[in-house]
Amino acid sequence: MVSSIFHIGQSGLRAGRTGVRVASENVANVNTPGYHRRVTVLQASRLRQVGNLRLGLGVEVRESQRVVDEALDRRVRSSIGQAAAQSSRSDVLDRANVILGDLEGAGVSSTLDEFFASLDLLAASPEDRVSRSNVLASAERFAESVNDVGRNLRAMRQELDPEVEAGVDEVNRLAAEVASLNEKISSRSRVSNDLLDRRARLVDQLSETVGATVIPGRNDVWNIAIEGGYTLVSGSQVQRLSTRPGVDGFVRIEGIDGAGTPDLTDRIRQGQLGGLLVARDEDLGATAQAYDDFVTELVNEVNARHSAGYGLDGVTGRNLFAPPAAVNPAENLAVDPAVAANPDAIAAARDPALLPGDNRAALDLAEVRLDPLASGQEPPDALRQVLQEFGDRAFAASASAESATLAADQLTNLQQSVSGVSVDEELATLMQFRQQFSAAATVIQTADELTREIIGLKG
Amino acid sequence: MTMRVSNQMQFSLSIDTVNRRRSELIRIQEQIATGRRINSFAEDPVASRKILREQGTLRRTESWARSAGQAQVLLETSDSVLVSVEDALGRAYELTIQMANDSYSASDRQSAADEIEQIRERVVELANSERNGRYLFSGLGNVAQPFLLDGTFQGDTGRLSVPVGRRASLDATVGGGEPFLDQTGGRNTVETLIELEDALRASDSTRISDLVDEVEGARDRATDARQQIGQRLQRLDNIRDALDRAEVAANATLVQERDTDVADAIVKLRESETGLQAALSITGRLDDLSLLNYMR
Repeated sequence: MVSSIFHIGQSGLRAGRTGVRVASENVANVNTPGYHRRVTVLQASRLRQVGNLRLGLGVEVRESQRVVDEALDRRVRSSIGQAAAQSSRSDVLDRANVILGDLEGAGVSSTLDEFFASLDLLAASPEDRVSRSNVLASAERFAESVNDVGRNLRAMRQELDPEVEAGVDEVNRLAAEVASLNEKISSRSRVSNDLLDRRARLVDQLSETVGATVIPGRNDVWNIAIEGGYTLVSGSQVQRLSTRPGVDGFVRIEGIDGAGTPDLTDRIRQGQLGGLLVARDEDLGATAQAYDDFVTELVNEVNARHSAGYGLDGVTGRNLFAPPAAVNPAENLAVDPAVAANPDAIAAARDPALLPGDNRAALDLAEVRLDPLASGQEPPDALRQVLQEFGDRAFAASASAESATLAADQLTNLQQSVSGVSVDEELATLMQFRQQFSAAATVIQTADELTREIIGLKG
Repeated sequence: MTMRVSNQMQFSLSIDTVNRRRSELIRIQEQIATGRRINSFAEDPVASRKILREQGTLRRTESWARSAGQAQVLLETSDSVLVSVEDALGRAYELTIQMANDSYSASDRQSAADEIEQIRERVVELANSERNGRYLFSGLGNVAQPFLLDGTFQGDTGRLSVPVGRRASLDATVGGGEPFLDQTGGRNTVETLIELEDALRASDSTRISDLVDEVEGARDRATDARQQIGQRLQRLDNIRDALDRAEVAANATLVQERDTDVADAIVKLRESETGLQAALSITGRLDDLSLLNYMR
């Protein structure tokens, strides 16, 4: 009878000690990312028949339970993936902004205007060598500024290759760790909270890198899919991603599965990696394309009019710019070599009999700026359209990065509210269990006194 | 229901707030310091496009104004040349009327013929005037000097047209030879003067009298051409006014879209500073609000 009191006291001591331990662990991990707080789960022990009474045998420490809301964690994970995608996209576009978005009068918009102004001047004095040289110089400056933008746009996209490769390495590393944790977790009979925390943290990082969805399997295994349904981790197996150079010169990502090596480049749209790919292929890709289209169309129009006119030397049929290249026309734009060194070759005249005074071809050329291109816009406006479309993308990316980050922060706060450690709370718990411990010690002391009494009686 | 508040939550929230306020503050400071509301397309794509458009308008306007200036030089020079032509032909007209009178002797007419010869040389010289490498009266081609002393016209009847606005051009010269050529296919001014000189040397009163109207006609052509030039200079003034107005309007839009409204920005700066101070003071107090401070 008395021995059971000892037993009960002991169970109280154990519970108090465990409670203090768990609370201490929580306090220690107050700043650990990915840590889910634990609570000590106590249960009254089963009752026993003692004489006429059914009495308990103290308290049982059931477990130290990890406080987690899986549904919320899932939402946090996907919001992290989205926020990371938008932020990395926006970062890239911010950098590209410098290449295109000059508002201080430099850049292609101004060299284009100056090129047309030089044609105005040519029209006013077609026989003048100075105005001809001026046309050549302006055409060259225009070509150079177009080259710069074309080249920088491509370089910008090219520079993302190492980042993409690093992202893929990171995905493979994280995936391998998740797979090995899957194996450990599934092979244990008892769930280990710290392994679960570590795996959840890794998957969060995976989501931040590439966007990951968890598909829970048997024995607490987490299978991981990335967007487009590609299974990255299946139990303890990893289907690694790899990179290879693409036909357009930019690195591509491929997976590996039973059927072969599917190209995932256009499917990965979440996480930092997704953001980089969207910025590279959709945003900058579209801008580069629109830019190339604009340059090709403009140059063809200028050339058509120029080749209809006559140079001071009476020769007709010459292009002002070299015909635009099929690949990267902006980057390769140049004044036609036949004209470049020869101001007399600038075709200002429509009628060779009226050389050198005829300025009608020059007037035609200067009018290019007012004649709509295929897009229905006058050339300077068509150029501004290209720039504005890029600006719209960068603006939208920055706005969605902000809102996606805000959403992720809010969800993370909610998650923290469930699983995060509050020091105040833990301190209170600590006191609570310390009191339990003291109380249990008093119980043992009492049991001891009772025992002495009994021994004293005998003696 | 009250929400559990974890420590990480509390700290990250206040750090986020401080960061956001700071970046807001820096942005406003930059706007004030640079005087520019936006610096790149990404900040405000629509306004950026307007800015580039107005810059384009300014450059285009400047280019057209320059062409207009060149046209003005050519037209004004043509006008002053034609004043001299008018004077010379006026003198020729006086002489013709005078010499048609029978009271003049052959020797009088001879010296008049000498003067007419000089007038012709002067008129040809004036008709061959050039400015900035262009003969004023040789037409579009500017191939060679328009008149030879024998009255041969070597130019064409075209005009040099320069761009001065949106699909607007202005003739910077009169039609080639126009102040000197007879539109009905008769003798041109130089030929008339040759004919007059011949008639004077022959001392043929009838021929001289017959030429009175023709010489007057030659002078009137110069006067008509001057009138035409005057109208065109008038139009040029209007064009320049319009270009100036377009420039002012473009500058106004540019300032409005691109430049910082300083008064407004300073108000925002104050707001932002207050916000940052509040965020900082809250963060500083987080430390005091802990159970730890109330435990012995």
